[in-house]
Amino acid sequence: MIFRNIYWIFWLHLLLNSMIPCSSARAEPLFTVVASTTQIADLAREIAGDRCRVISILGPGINPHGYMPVPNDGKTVASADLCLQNGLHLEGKNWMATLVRDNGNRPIITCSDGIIPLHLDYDGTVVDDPHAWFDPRNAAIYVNNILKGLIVMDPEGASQYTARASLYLNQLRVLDAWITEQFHQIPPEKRILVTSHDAFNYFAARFGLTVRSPVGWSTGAEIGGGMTPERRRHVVASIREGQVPAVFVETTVNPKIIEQIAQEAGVRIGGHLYSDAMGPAGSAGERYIGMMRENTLTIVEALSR
Amino acid sequence: MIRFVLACLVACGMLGSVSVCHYMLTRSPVTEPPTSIQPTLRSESALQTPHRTPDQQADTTVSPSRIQLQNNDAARRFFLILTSGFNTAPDPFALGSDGLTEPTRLSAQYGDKSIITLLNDLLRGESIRSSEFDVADTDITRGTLTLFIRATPAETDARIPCPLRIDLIRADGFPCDTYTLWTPGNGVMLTGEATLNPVPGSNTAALGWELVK
Repeated sequence: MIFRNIYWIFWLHLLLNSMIPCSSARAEPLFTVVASTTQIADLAREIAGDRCRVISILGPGINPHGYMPVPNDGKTVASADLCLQNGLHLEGKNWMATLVRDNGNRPIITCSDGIIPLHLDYDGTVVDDPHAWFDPRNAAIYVNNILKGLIVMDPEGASQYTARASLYLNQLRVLDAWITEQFHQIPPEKRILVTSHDAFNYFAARFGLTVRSPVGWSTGAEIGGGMTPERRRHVVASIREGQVPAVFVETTVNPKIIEQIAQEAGVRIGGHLYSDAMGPAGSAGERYIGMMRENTLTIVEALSR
Repeated sequence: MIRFVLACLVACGMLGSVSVCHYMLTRSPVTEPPTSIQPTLRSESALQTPHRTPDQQADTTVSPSRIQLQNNDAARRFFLILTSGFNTAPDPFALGSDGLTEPTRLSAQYGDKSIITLLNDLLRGESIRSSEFDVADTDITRGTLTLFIRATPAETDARIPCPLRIDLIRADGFPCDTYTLWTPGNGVMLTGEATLNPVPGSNTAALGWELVK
């Protein structure tokens, strides 16, 4: 019996020994960064590299406008060395800022600081459009804001963060030029984008599209409202008048309304677009650049037919 | 008992191999003694600069009088004149483009030295003169000086290839060389290297100026 125990202890010892080089080969992240949305988490990962563990509060496909934080989110935020939020009320009822305030008051960066917001007018209420990342030039501003926050948090990693940010900004520059080139394939009169909520105004403004959306500013009822019969009639009429070849469904919004409108107007569904959240792991839309690329290809293919 | 002894032998063997692996993974790299470097002299004709014609390359030969000039401190100081064939604009993808700091429109860098950092717009056809900068002796001897140039064309000019002319002038007024870079014309900014000859008069024909004697 004793021999048998010793026998197994030897094998266990061997197993543990063989694991030592594997576990020490990659350094553990030094800091924890918690982002409110998947887009911001992706931008932060690009700059932070392996020095930081980046956690997103929202998962893929989750709508940030109407999100209700759960108790575990508080623990996540409390463990953060730096928190990142979009701002411009993308996080409905400022849930990210509230989480931070209630869980250790960790340092928080508002990534949209410094952008010139577009405005939306809903029944006389003017609000800032929060979907600023859809313009790659604004994404560059996000990157710079995140970079500043990371350097303040970890001055020793400044040169690494700056080098990564510089490379990523170049990638954004190429992305911006590529998207512009793609939309030149669509005749100007066909560049009409019909989606299920007003997420694409920055995208449209940058790349010369006209946006028509049947639902209000937010997918929740907090600001803007939602579908009204008058708005719906307006959208259906504009689709018919504009001879729009296709309408698009957003990944974070219930497709029911847009499918009804498409049927009413006699147009087809052009495809699914990543909007308020990026795609699941393993999908083309799990990274910011992939999300923008896939959206562009979907729109260009549908509108140029 | 035999089973136990066998197990011990196998375990010892594996422990040994694990230890060797561990040692190989964690040992510090062996630094080999530096090999002595024999200085070699290259002929000037061996220096090829791809953007020049054969006639211009022949001009890169350094005459004794020019070698004398190179020994002078003044012969190491230069400035640039950059003439833009496009309107410049702020680079929205620059580091620091957070709306709070002013992005660079045009910049020239020599090694780790910034020669020009333009924060104001430059209009098509306008020129800008850099401050004076010292060139490394090795670059003067070798006859090539490489600058890294970045410029952001305005949206109106971003879709067509546009030139940026770079003139290298010695601090005492001798024109040395000129080089033209072109924007890609696909909306992306201009980033590129300009290779210039810091020997005065090496490329006066291209400069369109006469060498002052």
